Amino acid sequence: MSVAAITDVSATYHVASRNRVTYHRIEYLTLQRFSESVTDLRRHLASEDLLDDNWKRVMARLVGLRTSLTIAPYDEAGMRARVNRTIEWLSEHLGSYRHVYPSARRYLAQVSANLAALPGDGCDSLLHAMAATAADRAAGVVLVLRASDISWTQSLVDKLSKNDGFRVINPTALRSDICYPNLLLVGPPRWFPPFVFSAPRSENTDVFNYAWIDNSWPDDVEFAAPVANSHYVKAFRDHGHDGLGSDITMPEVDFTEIVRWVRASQDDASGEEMEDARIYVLDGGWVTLLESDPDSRVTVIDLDENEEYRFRQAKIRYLEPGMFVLLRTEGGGDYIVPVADRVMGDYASYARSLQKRWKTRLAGHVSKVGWERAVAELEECGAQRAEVHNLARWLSMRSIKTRDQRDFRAILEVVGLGGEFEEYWTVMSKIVEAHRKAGHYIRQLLLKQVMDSDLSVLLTNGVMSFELDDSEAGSLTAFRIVSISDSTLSVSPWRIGQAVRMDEGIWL
Amino acid sequence: MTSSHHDLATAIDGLNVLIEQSWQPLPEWMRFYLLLGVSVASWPQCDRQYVLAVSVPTRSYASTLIGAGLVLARAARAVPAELEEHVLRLRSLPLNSPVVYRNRARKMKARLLGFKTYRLGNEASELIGLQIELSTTKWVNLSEAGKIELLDHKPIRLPRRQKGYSLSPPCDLLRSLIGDALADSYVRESGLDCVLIGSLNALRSESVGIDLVRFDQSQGERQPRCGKLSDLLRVREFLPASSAHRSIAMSSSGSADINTEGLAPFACIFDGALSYLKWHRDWGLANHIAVLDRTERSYGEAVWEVNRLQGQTDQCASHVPALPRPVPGIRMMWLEV
Repeated sequence: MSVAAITDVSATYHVASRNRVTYHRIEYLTLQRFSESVTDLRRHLASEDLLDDNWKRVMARLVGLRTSLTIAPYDEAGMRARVNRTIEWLSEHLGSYRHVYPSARRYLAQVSANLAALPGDGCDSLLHAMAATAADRAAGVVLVLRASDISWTQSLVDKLSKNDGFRVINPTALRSDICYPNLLLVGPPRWFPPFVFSAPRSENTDVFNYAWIDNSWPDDVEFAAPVANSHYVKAFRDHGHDGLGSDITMPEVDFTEIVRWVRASQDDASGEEMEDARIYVLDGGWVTLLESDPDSRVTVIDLDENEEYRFRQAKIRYLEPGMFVLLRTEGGGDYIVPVADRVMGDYASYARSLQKRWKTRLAGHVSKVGWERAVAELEECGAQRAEVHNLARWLSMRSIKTRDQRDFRAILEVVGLGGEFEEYWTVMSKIVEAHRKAGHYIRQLLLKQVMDSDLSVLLTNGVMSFELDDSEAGSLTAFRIVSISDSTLSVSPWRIGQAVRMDEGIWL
Repeated sequence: MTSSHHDLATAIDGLNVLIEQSWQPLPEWMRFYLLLGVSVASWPQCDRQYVLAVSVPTRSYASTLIGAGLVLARAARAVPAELEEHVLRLRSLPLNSPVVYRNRARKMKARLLGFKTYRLGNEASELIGLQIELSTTKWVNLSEAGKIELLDHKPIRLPRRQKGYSLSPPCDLLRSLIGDALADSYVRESGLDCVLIGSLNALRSESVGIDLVRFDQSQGERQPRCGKLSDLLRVREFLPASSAHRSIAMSSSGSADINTEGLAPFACIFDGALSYLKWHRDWGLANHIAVLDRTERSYGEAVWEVNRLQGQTDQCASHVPALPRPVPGIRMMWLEV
């Protein structure tokens, strides 16, 4: 990260003591009615115990739409397109349910009526209020919550603004030392990270939020016993609205919807080994699955770090929302494998066949005798780390061999390949070496790419692609992690590390 | 605050910084961080550890400025206990241990030959023997032991004749801030007043990126006394090999294997929440200064950790530190562990 100019840092301290917040309460009665009808429908379904998986999908879609309309400005055409997509989706998914749950029909009809009315009067009121304020101010930034709303909002701002002095950003961009003369914030303040208010980057903050939604600030952690004369100046809070408003809360990712999608699109080939994975929701509406093993590794970009450590392999256990994870987005699967195979040359097919052979045999054995028995057998054959979670890792196609020779010997004994131990150990060691070289090679390619790239794009958009100068290495994309699932699910190994775009239904 | 610290604080008040090609008075926030470092330097050295957490809107320059204030203030006060400690360490070394000897404007490698007592009438003084050439031994007075620095690599080869390497003299700014005598020993004798833990690139760029000046009145004229923040901070990792240093820097992403040459730092400055969370347990003997940037992902977790420590301490502090009044946007908490 480049070092800030002293003038920029001085500006940061300057605005810390002078930040002024102005609230613009936007009236849009139709959206309020739609919002309330969605709440009524959900309450009814919950009270009648009707919230089965299918209804949860419907609710996720409706709440997702409500959230999207709450946190970004729209013009009439944009609103109409958005609403029409939802109406189409609902008609596809809801026809039969009208008959299954007649008690919900009244609530659903209300939602549908309000939904259809959304593109009418007032739908662009937030946009116009913003444009009017922007016209009064020379320059600044528009702050939206999600990176995926940046380009959309920028196109609207460009269309309405008389000058091109307003750029659209998301909160991550405010982590730099750059201050702006004006900041127009769109959406409920409480949904933004606390530093937007506790470490302001603008002297003037204009909050554009719908009139019925709470204007309170996000809670920031405080020192338990601060030094008496130290403080960070709090700007004017809109106390009149604290705690008031609708039940709209910060949207959370609906992991059950993603799990459903993963399971629905799974081939479930019989006998295929499965791996435990965790769901990672990424910026820009992307989702990926990464191994649940906390000690497995993934490449990350940490913009807080210096160049030496900016790209590194990090253990899964250290991943957290806000970090950037690097995934292959062209070619599929693990990007190391094709390059490692090229390193091995003609030897690769032989080596991979041996790797597949012992793993297939081990998977077959485990499915035949069960996990506990397999672990006991490995112990009897001299394995030092025969435990269920280790066995699961050894079964993964992403592991090549065990660290300890005694564990590997035991595995081969159990699967009837004990007599070929020396050959297998040698070949697997060569694969490991090839992976190491491939990792180093790709890292060099990537470093070269990144040195020439403007990483502020990554900071702003949350997503950035890197085309590597090697066709087999393919393209890689860095994604900001938005959310990580607590629970795990079993998936095919080929799905691990793939980035897939989801629709708005993943938000609750 | 001691009188020497008071003088230093006054000298800091007169500093200017180069901003966009012109000298301008030090911004309040820069002055505050330098003075905070000076304040921390006056904390008592005892078996208690002090922790100062500083919540900032941006961590840029905060740690390097605090560090510079701290090492300057530590140099500006007499620390006989540290010299004694250094002599004890020299006494414990095996015969022929490699060292560096700095004298006037030169430094040379040497082997430690031992100690002897020299008598002149009723006066007795102890000397340290250094072999500096194949057939030349130099005897150095014990009071100058600070000019001898341990080398961590061995063995060394001594030449038949050794001129040594020339040493850069202290910059004018350093002389202006702490006086000629202290400034000379500042650049010739190593010490470990603080460890900075954070992004090495950022720490390096920050320390070399700040040009400071103090205008002294001399014979009726304003004389500019210039220097860089790095001249005050003297970070081992950012100096040529074997230069005398006052602080060391460690990457927050690196490993814990850092050579402190057997010295325990007076204070550790953690540049950022992640640095603090990752490393504060490894530097339990030093005082801690945690610079916590509110825009960092781990900010909340770091504040939670400081609050947890605060909850574990007894509320009757043996020492209440005098801290400079922070500029708006900065919040602090200190505790005695």
